[in-house]
Amino acid sequence: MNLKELLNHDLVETKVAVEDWEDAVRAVGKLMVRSGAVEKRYIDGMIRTAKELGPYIVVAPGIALPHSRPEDGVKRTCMAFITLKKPVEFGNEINDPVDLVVAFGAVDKKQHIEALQDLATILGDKKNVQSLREAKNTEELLKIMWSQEAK
Amino acid sequence: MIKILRVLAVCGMGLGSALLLKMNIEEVLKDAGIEAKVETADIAIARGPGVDLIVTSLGLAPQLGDVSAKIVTIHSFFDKNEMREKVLEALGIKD
Repeated sequence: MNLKELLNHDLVETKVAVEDWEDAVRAVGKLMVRSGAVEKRYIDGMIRTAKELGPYIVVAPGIALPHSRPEDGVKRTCMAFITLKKPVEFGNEINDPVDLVVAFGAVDKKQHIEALQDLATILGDKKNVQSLREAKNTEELLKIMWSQEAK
Repeated sequence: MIKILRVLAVCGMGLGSALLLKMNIEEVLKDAGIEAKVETADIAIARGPGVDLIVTSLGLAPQLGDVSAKIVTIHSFFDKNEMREKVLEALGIKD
């Protein structure tokens, strides 16, 4: 499944106000719970995983990619994306602070690969990252996220 | 006979970040004409034998402990230039 199939207006939000990194993970996780793609406990899974393994989930400057295991309550492959009103610290000395949070739920090691590839292409271009940061609404955000068409 | 390198992309679960790393590693090695088998792995697998190069994040590198493989730590998983420079340097190849 590619990004276009996974992301829609219900799974993205712009300029979300959060207190700290846990709050940010909850905010993005809530969108996946609301869509019915994951159980509520998946949010706790993502937070636990981040605590267990350290702030490695900040995969690039300003960008966090929280996720947990399929058995933590994933019902179907999914992704959600929020931008933060004010950046928060995840405890990653190189890549903090974070203002783009992309979460995903995987059912296996395959189904979400295409979407991750799309994501890598989009976020590999600094112009896109800047545009995502500046996006005022979900319309603008999705326009960028959907720009990588399935090949 | 040329030995095929075994390269591991390592993240906590081998599900997300490691996949992102794997894509960039494969592209960099292909461009450089280096034959390699690139796999995603978690920390336990990375500690095993027969690995030439481990690519991971700064946060996870200390958790690997003592391994015989060379370790490359990547700051930005979306930055192909960083990957190219660090991987080729670890393999002793000039860009």
